Amino acid sequence: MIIAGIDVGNSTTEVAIAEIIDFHTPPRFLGSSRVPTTGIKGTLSNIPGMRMALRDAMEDAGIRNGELELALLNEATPVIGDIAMETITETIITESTMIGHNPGSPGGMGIGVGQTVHVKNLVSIKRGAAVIVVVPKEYDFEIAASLIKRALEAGVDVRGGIVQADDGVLIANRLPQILPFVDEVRLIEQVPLNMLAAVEVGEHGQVIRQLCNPYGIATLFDLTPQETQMVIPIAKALIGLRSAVVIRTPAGDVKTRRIPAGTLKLIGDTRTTVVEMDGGADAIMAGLGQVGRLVNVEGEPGTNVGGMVERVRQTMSEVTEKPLAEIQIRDVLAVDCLVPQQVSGGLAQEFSMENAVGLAAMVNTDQLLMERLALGLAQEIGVRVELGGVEANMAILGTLTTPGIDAPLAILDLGAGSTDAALMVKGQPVKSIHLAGAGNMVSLLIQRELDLPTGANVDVAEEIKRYPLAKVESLFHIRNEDNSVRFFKEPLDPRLFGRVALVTGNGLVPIPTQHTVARIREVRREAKRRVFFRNSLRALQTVAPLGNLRNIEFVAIVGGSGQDFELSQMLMDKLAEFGTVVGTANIRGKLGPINAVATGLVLSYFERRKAG
Amino acid sequence: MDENERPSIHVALLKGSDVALYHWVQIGAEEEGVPCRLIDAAERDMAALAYAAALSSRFGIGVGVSHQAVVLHERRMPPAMPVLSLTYSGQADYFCRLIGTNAARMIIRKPLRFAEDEADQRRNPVKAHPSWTQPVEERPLPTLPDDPALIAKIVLLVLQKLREHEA
Repeated sequence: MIIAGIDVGNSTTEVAIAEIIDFHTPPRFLGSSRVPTTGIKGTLSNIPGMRMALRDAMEDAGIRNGELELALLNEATPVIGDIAMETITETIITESTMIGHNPGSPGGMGIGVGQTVHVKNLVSIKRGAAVIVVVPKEYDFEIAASLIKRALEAGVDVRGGIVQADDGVLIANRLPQILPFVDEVRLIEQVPLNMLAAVEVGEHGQVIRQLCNPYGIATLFDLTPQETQMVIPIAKALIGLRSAVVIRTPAGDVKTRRIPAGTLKLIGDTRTTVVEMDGGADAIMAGLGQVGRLVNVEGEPGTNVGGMVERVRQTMSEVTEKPLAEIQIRDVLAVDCLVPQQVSGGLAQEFSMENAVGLAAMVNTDQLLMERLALGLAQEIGVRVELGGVEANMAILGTLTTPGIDAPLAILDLGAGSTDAALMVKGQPVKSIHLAGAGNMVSLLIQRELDLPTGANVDVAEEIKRYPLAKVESLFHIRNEDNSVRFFKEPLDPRLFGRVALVTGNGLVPIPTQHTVARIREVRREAKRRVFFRNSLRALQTVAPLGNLRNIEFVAIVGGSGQDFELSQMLMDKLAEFGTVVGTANIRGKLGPINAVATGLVLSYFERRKAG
Repeated sequence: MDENERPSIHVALLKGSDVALYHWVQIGAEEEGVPCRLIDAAERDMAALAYAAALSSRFGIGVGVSHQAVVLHERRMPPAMPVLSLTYSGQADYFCRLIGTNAARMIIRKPLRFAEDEADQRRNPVKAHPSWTQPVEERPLPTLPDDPALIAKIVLLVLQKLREHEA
């Protein structure tokens, strides 16, 4: 008979097709497939994806419709998860007082302080007055430069300028002395006139020094200690920029507002604790360690975390069609990050790095959902569908098809939505655990920390997670992130020139961002560390004999994230600290870390029938 | 170093083209901080013209300009395959400046800029031709007397006032 094992995951649906001749010969695998999951795992909307996966696998196996006798689904997909992220600090400028940005090419260099004056009003300025010129884009660089030159000749002390168009260098080059010009200031009409302002442009290859130092600003504007307190957020937001402007307005007030982040109530079976979100991810995870098995989580109403937890609950309630009150969060993973947030009140779309906490949460689903799914699929494809067994056991069975592997063995299933671990010791029941947070969380962290565009058809963060980087250095060569160089026979697309690109199977894909290779690489690896290191350790410690990781000798990695080009090596390095050996599974000796559960479903059916 | 030996972007004009077009290329390159030089080349084909400019440039970057098109070439590219080729009607200043910017960016290795990505800027282009005949101030200029003797008197008066002020 021909049977199929179907594994619906958070991100992909996998199928293994095998032929069982009799119950003395092991099943002969004919084909497999992997397609994106349609809809949220565990819902009827998965059926189109399952059909597609079955069709692909049957094609791969070379069998016709009608030959398939039985489809096996994993029992009670135990968990589904959701992720959310909220910032816990925010910078607000109530009176516009700051322009800090990195135009491609600011003009001149140095620092200048003076009253802001519209370029057209330069003629009526008194001799000797220190001014900062404001040049809207209606003023061509030649006109602006001549006006400024004439003013200088007439004795006006022009100290620098703020320019709307990309003309900073052109204006600076046409003046008799070197003055700093900040350009590409889009909202120039909002620059207050007749106010004291400071313009700073760093030297080539360097960043500004004075305006990113609160005492530097205090010195330039002669501020009192109280006033200096107020400019700290400005100085902080200007760190690392090549050019900046700070304008002193009488009622100017900038502050970092701490959004009430709220508290998270972790209800466990042994005790309950309340953790402050302000304490960051470590405090939350420490609290989680104290409560025993997590029964539920509540966020403080009216705060960011309250909203976050409610949103997760809402999504889960819709998916499972259970009332809101019955949705219980069984695990959370908190991760700290710094995300760029647009400063409200800035003039050139400035960003400030704000603290944020990302939260992955997981709820248990019940068996009814899977039974409904099995029924739905049976009607759809006209083949008998059975629930085949617990996911963790299936994954272990599948993993055991890896050449050279044997029990005792722990597996680490790194998926998109959850990180799971299972331990198999001969003669004992399999121990398993499912934790919130995996590949999707990594993508979210990358997306938020690098402030990448979302939506559209391709998720840039997801791609960054998957492929190594390179910088296109000429039309004929690229430099990979490990500094090696690769040459091309045919010239590359000029659109790639000078860009950071992903080296994918389909060639180079430019990333729509200004970040450097080094920065993107660091964010990518750090996101993987923060999610997968923490979760792998948590998961393995839970299933390890006596809760000690050192009692686990071998760990096999399975799951979609196991295919990651760097993650398994990173985990190997990390777990070596505990004397644990890590290897990536190779299911059936050829599929790599994927298809473990689908393969296990087939094997489990065979074992059950063989036993009687 | 001799001006002619300094590495620079070489720009060649198609015979009979306005030299102002070269200046716009130069301005684009200047904003990125790279020098430009106008060279002579006799080629009639735009790609060949730009390629000839690229070959003579120490940077290996050349630009060919005519009234209808502007072409960016690089020494290592196949001669018939320029890096960028823009055909335009109107807004010559914008396109020439853009090519100048991109020629410079080839050297400083920054991502190139593309006209279609900047559609919003083109709808509100910067003033095409700087000219002192266009009023830059809101208040009207005072009408001046045209009697030379009167003007001379006024000038003397102003100079005298200035000297007083200096003192």
